[in-house]
Amino acid sequence: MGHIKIIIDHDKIDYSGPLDIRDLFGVIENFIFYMGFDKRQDKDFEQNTPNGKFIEWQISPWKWITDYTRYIIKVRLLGYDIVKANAVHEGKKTKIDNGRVIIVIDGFVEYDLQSRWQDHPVLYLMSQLYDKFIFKAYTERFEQMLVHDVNRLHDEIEKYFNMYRHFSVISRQGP
Amino acid sequence: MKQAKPEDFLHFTSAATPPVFIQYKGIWDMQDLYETVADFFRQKKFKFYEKQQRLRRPGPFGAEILYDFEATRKVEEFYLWKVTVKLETFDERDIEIVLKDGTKKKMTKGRIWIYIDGIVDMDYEKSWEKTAFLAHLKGFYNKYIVKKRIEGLWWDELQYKIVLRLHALLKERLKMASEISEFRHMAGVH
Repeated sequence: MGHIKIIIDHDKIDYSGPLDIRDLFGVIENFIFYMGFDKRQDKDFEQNTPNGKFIEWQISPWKWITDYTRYIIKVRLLGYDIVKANAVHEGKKTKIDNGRVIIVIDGFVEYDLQSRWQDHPVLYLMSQLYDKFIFKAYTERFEQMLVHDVNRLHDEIEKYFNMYRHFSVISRQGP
Repeated sequence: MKQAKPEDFLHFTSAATPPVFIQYKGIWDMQDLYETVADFFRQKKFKFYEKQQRLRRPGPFGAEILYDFEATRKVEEFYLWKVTVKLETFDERDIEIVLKDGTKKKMTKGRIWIYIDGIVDMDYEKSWEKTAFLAHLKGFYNKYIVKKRIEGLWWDELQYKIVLRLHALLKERLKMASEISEFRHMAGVH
């Protein structure tokens, strides 16, 4: 395992109200699939409690950028007291979920995937020099692209919840 | 002189998928779940083994049952897929529920913990490990000739078409909120 750098630390969305929890999972998974990430499911817990469902769901999809670097986006979703409620949608009676959802997104870049530069202190120093000074432009570009991806995911979720969006993606995706 | 160990020249002898878990608390149909797992592997042409079934009654809250399954499929002469599925129930007890049409059905109530992982095992008959020369050849073959095929095809198919698909299927049978799987649309590459 190479060394992991935290780029986005706990980007959080907190929402209470009506939602379709299945659609929400669909939005996140669809985004991950569309962006070409490989899926890793860390947690998938569901408990039926007297107050409603408690859900803990965590994925950490990854994408190889080069042989040396990969992105990891960790999405953690906590759902509290998710209950079914009646609603009228386009004149038809339907059932939707209602409850509180907290989504936490972290973004990491993992360098030196095959741990080739970690066996010896001198090699490690050289890898750091390369990452931070010689290949600085590439390193920063990779990080910027990850920030762009996470911002887009955040924006997609806010769009889905129909929240007041304080952020819109203006960052340019790298080449 | 330092003696060479097998791992120095045997590369990529196996490729494992990340394990996936499900934890669920509520009501489910254990018979249906069992048949779903068995049917899935039968349809995918796996050999399905039930390695262990363990029943314990540690307290008054219900039984603990462990089902330990292993499924293998020799996909080609060179590699096989091996999938391990563990279903463990806690505080399990039978209850009777009334369906919408008024009929009664026996279901299970309690907690269930499911673990699935898969592995691509290269040269499962170990025919390339009989001599040191063959072992070196195998290391070279895995590292330089079929590496991309292992990472991009054999592992990928196991991950998305077997492990994650079974995971999604079990969630569907448990009627979990997260049953949706966008990766079901993933097409194969041959």
